[in-house]
Parts: sequence; structure tokens; C-alpha cells
Amino acid sequence: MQEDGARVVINEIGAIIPRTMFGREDLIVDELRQAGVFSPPSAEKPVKAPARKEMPNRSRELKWIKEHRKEYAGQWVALDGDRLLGHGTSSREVIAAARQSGVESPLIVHLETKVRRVPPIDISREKQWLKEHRHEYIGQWVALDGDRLISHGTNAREVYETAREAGVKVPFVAHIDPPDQLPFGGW
Amino acid sequence: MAYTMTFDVLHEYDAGDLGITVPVELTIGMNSTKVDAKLDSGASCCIFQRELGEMLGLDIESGMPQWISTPTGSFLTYGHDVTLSAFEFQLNVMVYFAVDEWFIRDVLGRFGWMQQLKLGVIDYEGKLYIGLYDADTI
Repeated sequence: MQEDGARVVINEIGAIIPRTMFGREDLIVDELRQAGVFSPPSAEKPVKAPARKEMPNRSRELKWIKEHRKEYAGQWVALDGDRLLGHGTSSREVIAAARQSGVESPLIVHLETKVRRVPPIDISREKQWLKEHRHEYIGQWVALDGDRLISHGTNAREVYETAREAGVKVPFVAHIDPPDQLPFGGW
Repeated sequence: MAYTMTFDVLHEYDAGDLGITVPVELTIGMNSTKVDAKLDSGASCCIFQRELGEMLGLDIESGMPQWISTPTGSFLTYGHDVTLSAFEFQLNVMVYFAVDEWFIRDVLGRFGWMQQLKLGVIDYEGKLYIGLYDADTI
């Protein structure tokens, strides 16, 4: 280390301040700033993780739903016990109301009016393809249309968008896990 | 005492597979995808991988935060309104997407989804019977 009586010396250990600069705080700070010791203040606020609270027993919410299902049919409802925190047809607004309420674990559900019946989803050809080819794409996302591979890669969104651009409206997507996966433990 | 129930749909799955797998279609706005999810009566809600939500155009952290506990710890999820089709039923469901990318399961759980259905399982034969829950007629 070379001593320079007029400068702060920065090395991997830290900053060495010469005796001649003792008491000259502004000069020291300026030297440190020039040396890039201070990182510029971030424009983004630090993200605070939400409070960790587990889901409580939902008996009171379920009772409320049973009693008010018809009244709020077709709407989203946010509940804390038997207290209605918000409701409406826009899930976004109901989520906002629930977050605003400060309740950490509300139950948010859609009260269906009439459940829509849709044709069964058949992915048998996709599953057959996976059985035959999965070893070729370990660690990747694949997008399939029946037994046809449309796109693959490590970025799920890119894989999906490529499939959509290829004209597949509803691609089947899967991440190919290594074959030695353990039995699923549920929760 | 014997009990009798009626169902609308029979879903046959591979009983030798790891878990009861169910083909699912997820739709958010104009974006839809098909995935193979697992039925999990032990899961409080439907939980999917973060990447699937992002794939469908979601900003995951803008949803409703919810911690999920497991026997080995807990993880953070955010809930979003998703149109979920499974078997022959299409429902609007609050689906929770895991924040961390290590979460690589897609599970169909109870609140919002399973509680709108009635299910009968003969696991040895890989048979899952599904009907709509109707408090007035069950």
C-alpha cells in the first residue's frame, strides 16, 4: 500500500485515512464518493415482504358464503371471518379493498351464478409426446400442440409467446423436471 | 348406513403416476394455456408456479399476498383472478402464484375451486368422479 498524505486510499481491506485528513469530514466523504464507495440512492423503494401470517380456520367465512351466496352471486367477495371487506365484479378492486383493510389473510372467492360447462381438455397426445421426448429437454420449458413441439427453452414466457406467434391459441406448456423426482408429499 | 351420490364427469388418470394429475386450462384476459396440475386436498388453495402467471401476463406481486405453510417451512404467494377450466367446468378462481421460482408444482386445492365441486376417488383404478357442489340438491 502506498501512502498518500492528501488522499484516502481504498483497498480490499477498507479505506485508509491519512492523519493529515483527520477531522476533515467533508473532504473524506468527497474522496470516498469519488472512489465510488457510496452507491447512488436507489429510485425504487425497498420491497417489504408482507407479514407472515398463516391462513386461519375458514368456518365463519364458509358460513357467511352459504348465507349470502345469492345476494352476491356473480361477484368477488373478500371476507375476514363473517366481515365483508369488499365485493364487486372486478377482482382487482376487491383485492385492493382487501389489501387496504390491512387484514393479512382474507378469503377472496368468486360466487358463481352458473358454472359454465366446457368441452373436456384432452392432453393425451401431449402426455405421450412427453413420455417419448422428455429426456431430450430436461430443465427446459416446452410448448406443444398435440404431439407437435412448437417451441422450447429456459424462459417460459418466450416459449409461450413463440407458440402463440406460431398460431397456437392455447398451447400446452410444461417444465421438464429431472427424471429422479421424489414422490409428491402434498402439503 | 349407505350413502349415494351422483356425479357429472368421470376423469381417468394414471394411477401409477406421482399424484392425481388433472389437465387444466388457465386463462387471464386473452392469454390461455393448458397445463397438467395435481389434485391436492391437502392444499388450502390453488397454487401455481410463478412462471405460468408471468407467461399469461401477470405482474405477480400486484396480487393478494398469502403465505403458505408446509411441513418444512413456508413460502409467499400472490393471488390473482384466473379463469380455470378443469374436467368440464369453468370457474373464476383466486389462484396463488408462488413468488420463488424454486416452486415447481401446480396444485388444485380447496378454497375457490374444490369447494365448488364434489369429488369421488377410486385411486386404485385411477378413477375420479366429479360433480358440481350444489347446497340445495346434494
